[in-house]
Amino acid sequence: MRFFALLSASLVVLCQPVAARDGRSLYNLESTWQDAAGEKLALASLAGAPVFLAMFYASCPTACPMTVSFLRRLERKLPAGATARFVLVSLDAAHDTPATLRTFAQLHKLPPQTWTLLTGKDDDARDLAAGLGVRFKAEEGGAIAHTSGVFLLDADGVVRASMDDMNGDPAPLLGALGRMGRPAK
Amino acid sequence: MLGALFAAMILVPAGSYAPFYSKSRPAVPVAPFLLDEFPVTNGQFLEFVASAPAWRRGLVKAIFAEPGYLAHWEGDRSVAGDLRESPVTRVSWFAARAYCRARGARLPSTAEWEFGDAAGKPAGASSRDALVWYSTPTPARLPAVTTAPADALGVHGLQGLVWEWTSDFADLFVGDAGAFVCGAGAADARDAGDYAAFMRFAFRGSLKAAYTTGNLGFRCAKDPSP
Repeated sequence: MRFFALLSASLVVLCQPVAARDGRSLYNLESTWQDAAGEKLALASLAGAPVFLAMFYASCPTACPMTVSFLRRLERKLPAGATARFVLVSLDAAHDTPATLRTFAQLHKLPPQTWTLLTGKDDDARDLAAGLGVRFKAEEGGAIAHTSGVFLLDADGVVRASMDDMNGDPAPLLGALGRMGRPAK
Repeated sequence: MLGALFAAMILVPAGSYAPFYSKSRPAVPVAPFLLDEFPVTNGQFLEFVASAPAWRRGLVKAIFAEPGYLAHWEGDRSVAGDLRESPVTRVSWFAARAYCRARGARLPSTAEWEFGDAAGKPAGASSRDALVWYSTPTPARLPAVTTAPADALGVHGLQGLVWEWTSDFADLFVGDAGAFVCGAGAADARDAGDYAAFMRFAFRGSLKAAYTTGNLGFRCAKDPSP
């Protein structure tokens, strides 16, 4: 299924070799991460299903809990049968270990079947942030100022939609997800 | 290959960078570092893409560079002879960083760049000098990097040729630093007359990592060997 989707996209849109990944895909970033279980993985291993992705850090007092509740609202409103992963990527490489991510996931009741929490090296977080246009800066006292946002990635890792108002209605992202599900004309 | 990418570097002594936007924020210490004497040229970048196909104009991934990437070159692997010595522009942050990494170097941080610039200013120079350049339109053909005069440290062209990428350009304009610059926040600025620094800060704040702009180049930095 995925093979054929890639094949037609490659031939029609890109005229590149069959196996080529879309040039706009975040999965072109060569970074390795650890999930809450301590497993090493590449971003590209998320390929194959749509992903709602946000950057966060575990000790974040205000903005990140808002982002998580936004994502949970989104998850509850997913149409039946829709498959999407929810991915939180840490901006705080120095403090967020797999154990920290585990605690965070438990605290916010994020089921591992649909949620993936990732932490990596500072350089990798910076690369992903650069690819997304997320800006962040470590402040005095351990806080990390950052722009908020949830990004919808298609099965190939290309950003298809994003929202930065975490108090808002997630309908635009759900709409974008629905449109992605339809076969291309 | 190493020979082609070789560049003379200047040792910038230890110092500190006092963020211009606030008197109340402490200065950031800057450790001694090596900074390229000149911005990277089209000719040097051409040598780089010869050995790094992924960074050629026709092959670069869209996530790493906008469509305007190296648009002023004759082809994927050719640059007009009279542009070889000019600073390379229309390069994204990802590409600039890849070039520096290939040399075993890195991009300078904003603090390093700003401190290096300030440390090289001849006594009595005014930040207004930079404004004269900022207000001059970018020429269709950028001059050779060697035409830029050396500053007091021996670094050429930090001002007067092109704007330059820094490693942490995307740090800026988030959190409280943004608040210091906007509107009444500027009342706390260390040197409200340093309009040139405001402009650099605002310019970097407007960038995204894949942008390829005609007046934006880079140079590399490195930690001195122990």
